[in-house]
Amino acid sequence: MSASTEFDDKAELKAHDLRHRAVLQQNIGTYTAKVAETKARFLNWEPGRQSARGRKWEAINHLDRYLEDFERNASERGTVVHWAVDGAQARALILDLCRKHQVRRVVKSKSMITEEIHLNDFLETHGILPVETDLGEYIVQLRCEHPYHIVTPAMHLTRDDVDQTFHEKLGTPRGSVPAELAGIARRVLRQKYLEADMGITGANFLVADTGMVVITENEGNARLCSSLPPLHVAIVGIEKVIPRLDDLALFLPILAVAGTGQQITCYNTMIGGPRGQGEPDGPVEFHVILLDNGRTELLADTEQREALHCIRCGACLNACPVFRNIGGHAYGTTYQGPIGSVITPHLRGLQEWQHLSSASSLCGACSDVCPVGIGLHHHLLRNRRNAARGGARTWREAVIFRLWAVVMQNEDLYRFLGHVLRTGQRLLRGAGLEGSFLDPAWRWSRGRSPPHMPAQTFREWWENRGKPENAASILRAKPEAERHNMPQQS
Amino acid sequence: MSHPETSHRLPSAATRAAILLRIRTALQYTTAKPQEPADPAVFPAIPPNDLLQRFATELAALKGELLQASTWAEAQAHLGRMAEESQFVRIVATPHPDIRQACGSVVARTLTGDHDCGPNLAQADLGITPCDCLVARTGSIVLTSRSGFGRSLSVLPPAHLVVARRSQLVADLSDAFRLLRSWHGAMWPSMMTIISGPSRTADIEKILVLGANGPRKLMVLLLNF
Amino acid sequence: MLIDGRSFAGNTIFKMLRPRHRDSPRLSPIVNRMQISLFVPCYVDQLFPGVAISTVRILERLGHRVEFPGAQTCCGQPAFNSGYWQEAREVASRFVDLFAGAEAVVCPSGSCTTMVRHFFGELLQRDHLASAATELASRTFELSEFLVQKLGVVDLAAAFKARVVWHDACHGLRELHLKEEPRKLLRAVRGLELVEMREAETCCGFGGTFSVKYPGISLAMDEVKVDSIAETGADYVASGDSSCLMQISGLLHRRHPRVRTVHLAEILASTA
Repeated sequence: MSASTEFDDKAELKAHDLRHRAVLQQNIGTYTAKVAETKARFLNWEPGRQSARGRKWEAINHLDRYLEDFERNASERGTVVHWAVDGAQARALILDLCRKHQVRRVVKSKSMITEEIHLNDFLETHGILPVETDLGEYIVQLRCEHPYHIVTPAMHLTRDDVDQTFHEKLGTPRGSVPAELAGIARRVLRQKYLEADMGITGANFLVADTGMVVITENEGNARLCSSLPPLHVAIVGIEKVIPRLDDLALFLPILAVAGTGQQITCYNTMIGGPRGQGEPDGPVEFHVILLDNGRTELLADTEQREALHCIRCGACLNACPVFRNIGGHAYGTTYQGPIGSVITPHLRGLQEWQHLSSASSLCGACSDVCPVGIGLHHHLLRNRRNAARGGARTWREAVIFRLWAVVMQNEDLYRFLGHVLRTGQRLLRGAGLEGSFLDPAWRWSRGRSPPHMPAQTFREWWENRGKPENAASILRAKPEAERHNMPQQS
Repeated sequence: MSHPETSHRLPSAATRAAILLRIRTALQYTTAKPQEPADPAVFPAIPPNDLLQRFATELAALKGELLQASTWAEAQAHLGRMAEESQFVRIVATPHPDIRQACGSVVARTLTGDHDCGPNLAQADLGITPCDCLVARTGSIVLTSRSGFGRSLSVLPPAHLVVARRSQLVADLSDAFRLLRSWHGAMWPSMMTIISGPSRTADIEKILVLGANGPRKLMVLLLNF
Repeated sequence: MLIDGRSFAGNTIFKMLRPRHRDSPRLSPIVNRMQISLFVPCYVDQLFPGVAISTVRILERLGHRVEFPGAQTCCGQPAFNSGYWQEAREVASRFVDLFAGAEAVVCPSGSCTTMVRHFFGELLQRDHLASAATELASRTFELSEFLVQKLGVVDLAAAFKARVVWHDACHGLRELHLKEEPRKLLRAVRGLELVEMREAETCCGFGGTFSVKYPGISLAMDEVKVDSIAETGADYVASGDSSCLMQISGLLHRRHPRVRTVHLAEILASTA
């Protein structure tokens, strides 16, 4: 089954799942209110996002320089910097490290990029079990599911779902409340940190001028993953680089506000190397893997390069009415929502993933909320254009639009088509076939009442305006005429 | 037979060169620089006299606790009462003069340079550290693996107490970064962190739960002298 | 039983033939009488002619001359949105030619106006009509935008006795930045009670071909919108885009048939 067909099926299923819709509406509603309140109270949002956009532009459009700066500054402090072209290389690097240091137990903090390269599955086939330590990720791992949302992995679950999962997988008593569930996870995970041979994290930012990775979190699990085990590996996309440490004074609040509606996330940790001289703890080795995996493809597309500005806040997911109705799993990709729909064709191929760009009404809510000013819905349009140009669409569709263009460039053909459609609809209704499989507009009529084409078009009215001889054709006027020509009730 | 994964392995230098080449090739084509905002002020100014009030408000909103002392005696009294109320028995503190003086006889054990962090620290009820600075705007504490005496002390025990001086309070994150650079720029500590409240999660139905993995309790003892 | 379209058209022609002064009160003398070229989206022409007729009446009531370039068909948006930019370009070029030299172009649709104002430039940038397209864009307006911003008019002596909830159509809201304009106009309508709904700014789920390519998702979005409308107890939901109204009424008709849809132009043209 193609990705497109799978998406169609999953989206259709989820769109009718009212319970799922209610859960999302509840959770996203809470988020939306909090973000609005924080934006009003805490900072001047518009200048903030414009500044953020400018800094990201600077970083991305001088990416080679800043990555080299990062590498040099990080290496000076004892960090080992690796470069990986794709997921396979990144996985191989990590496996090498595991073998070299006889790593058996790994603790991991939430990282979308490790999802992107399917790291967990890979390590498990080599007998190494990475334990997710972020509560949402831990829950999702217990359920053998993929993360639902790039920021809130368990957004689709109710407390009851989590209670049930813990009961089944950990033997905890039923009827546990969220505080108890979190406490259970905390107890279980504590041992894991202390026993782990390696900690794997992602990073939210790479600071070029000081050679540091920055990890933003609320729980403290990433701090523990990067403090206790003797080895720490951070895998980071090359686009995460920012020029200066001081840029964080802007980015940390911007990310927090857009991501969760907080002023600042609980822990923002900058790691510049392995355990320093005179420091009592910390990993003896710190490795950073800089991953490309298709990002240079996006960089090369000057029109859409700005999609690399993304700081993975998740705001566009929360704003998107499509996401709100179908949820994260339906997309079938690592990155969901509008940003996922924009970048996945570049990272994984246009042919297979262009359908995501079509599964949008182009409402623009995503672009509105993006804290780094990415014109997301315009990029969806461009993906559609690229797909049509590149022959990734059906020949049937191409023919339809070619015919459409012919008709629309000829007023007589246009009027004729109008008459054909009008007559066709009248016949269909007369035969009682409206909404049936014989109705060409069944995809509409299945769920919604179709509009009825009036006998006279506007241009006919205009042409006949003020001509008294046409009064004879006027039928009984109805003062309460249906204003939007929907079918009358009975 | 070679492992399938190793066939992907290129010498790191070659990969590095390949990626940088791709980047440089792509960047031959430029994109228009976005306009800077007309008025770039993102954060409204905080009047200097309001700094402490602001810090107190923000810390409270984050469910952190602020204790203020005007003398060493007051500080010791605060600590003694807190340790008793919360039943902190195994306390680990950094060997910092302010902390020694504030803790007095309360401290059960003080860290030295060669201690074994993991298992012993894992038994602690409370970790006490100084900090680099406090940030009023966000109610945050900035510390490093130097001031925090390592990475774990401020995150592993279920409670964390920060002992700070009034003079360490700054308005904004940008002030904090400036200070860090002036103090550590020549040789950065391996870890720096900005702590804003006790550990938390809202992963279950957006319901706030404190003490997810890090400390459930965060306290700041502010020495107003 | 009469087919709706005919009775609807009949109604408007009937009104048109009534003595003019009773039907359309002339407002205060116009200082600057304009020649306005009417841009009628293809689906308005074919499906909702009343919207365009109302637009004519409003503009004439304000004392302007309205002309309708009869050869117009479409602005090209359906092809453009689906990625068929060559086809869209051909149709857009024809449009630019047709409306060249117009003093002002007014359109009762936010999405079609957006096409001309924001996307013609990109679409035709390498075309010989590029500068003409930019020129035309600067003189093309959505109806509420034209009335409030260009003419400075808010009160059209309209009357429409009903509780009305406003739906912010996406293009008008996010591309043309129209939020207050329609509300100002509606507040001046006699007898009209304007209410707001929870999901006013949330997309109704039409999105052109999206509505039939992904009908399940489109319908889910429609349900959220329609539920929100019903909550307000409004008699009518109004908007500046007939495409949205078609999507909304399609589901209202099945779920809350008491609630009807009406276009802003139809309200403003109403004097009874």
